Amino acid sequence: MTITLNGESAELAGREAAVRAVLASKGWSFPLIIVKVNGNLVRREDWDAFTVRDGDSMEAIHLVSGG
Amino acid sequence: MDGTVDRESLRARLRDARVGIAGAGGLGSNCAAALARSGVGTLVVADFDTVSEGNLDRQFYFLDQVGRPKVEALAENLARIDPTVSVLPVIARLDADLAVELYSGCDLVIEAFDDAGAKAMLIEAMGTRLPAIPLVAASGLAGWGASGEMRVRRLGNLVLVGDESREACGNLPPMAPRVGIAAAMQANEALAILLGPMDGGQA
Repeated sequence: MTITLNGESAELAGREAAVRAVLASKGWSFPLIIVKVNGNLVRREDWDAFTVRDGDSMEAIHLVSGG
Repeated sequence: MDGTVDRESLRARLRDARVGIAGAGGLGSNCAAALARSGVGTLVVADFDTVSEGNLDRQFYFLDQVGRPKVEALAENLARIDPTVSVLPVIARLDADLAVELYSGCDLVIEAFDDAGAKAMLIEAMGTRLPAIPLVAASGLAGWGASGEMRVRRLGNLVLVGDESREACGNLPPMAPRVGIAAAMQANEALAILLGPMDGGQA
């Protein structure tokens, strides 16, 4: 399947994938990541249950300290 | 600019706006100053901390305010710029419930925390419980130089400014210019949300 990940096209195996699996496939293991799928925020506790499918748009934001 | 939109009507629209600011440190105090100068009518500013001498390297406070609650000192400083701006100071450490309570009546909210965990807490709380209210957050503003790497990502009602990479730490402190750039970008995005796009095109 193909999704849009942070604005760029990304090929993933299978017909659907959990948010956590998508992050892992990119090697993104930062402690503080915010995920939105099709514009909706997906809470961290839902990363295993929430899946993305072909055509979905997913954004991952890496938060760092400083302000 | 559209000839029917004059300066006075812009000021009137901003005068009616209510903006929440979560945190009154480097981002929040400087963003608040920019919004007050722009004429935003009401600012709801929350922070639990007091002004320390070490804050003066980047935050909008003065030496004679050391020891005072930041939100009170900020309200005083903003009143010296424009006493008609209504500043609602809240001395509290924000959690998700308090943020939702304080900001549910705001047109938009500025995330201005220092700590990444607190940033995540607010983004999750707003995104799930107040998804209709725009949130302008910041991530990655420590250090110096690399001005051109400061950028804006617009993800629906979440707007993120910063380089999304430079984390504040011992040898990469948050410094006035880059913190100021991020705070000004947050204020600028707030104006874009409140007033709509400048040229009738993209924000």
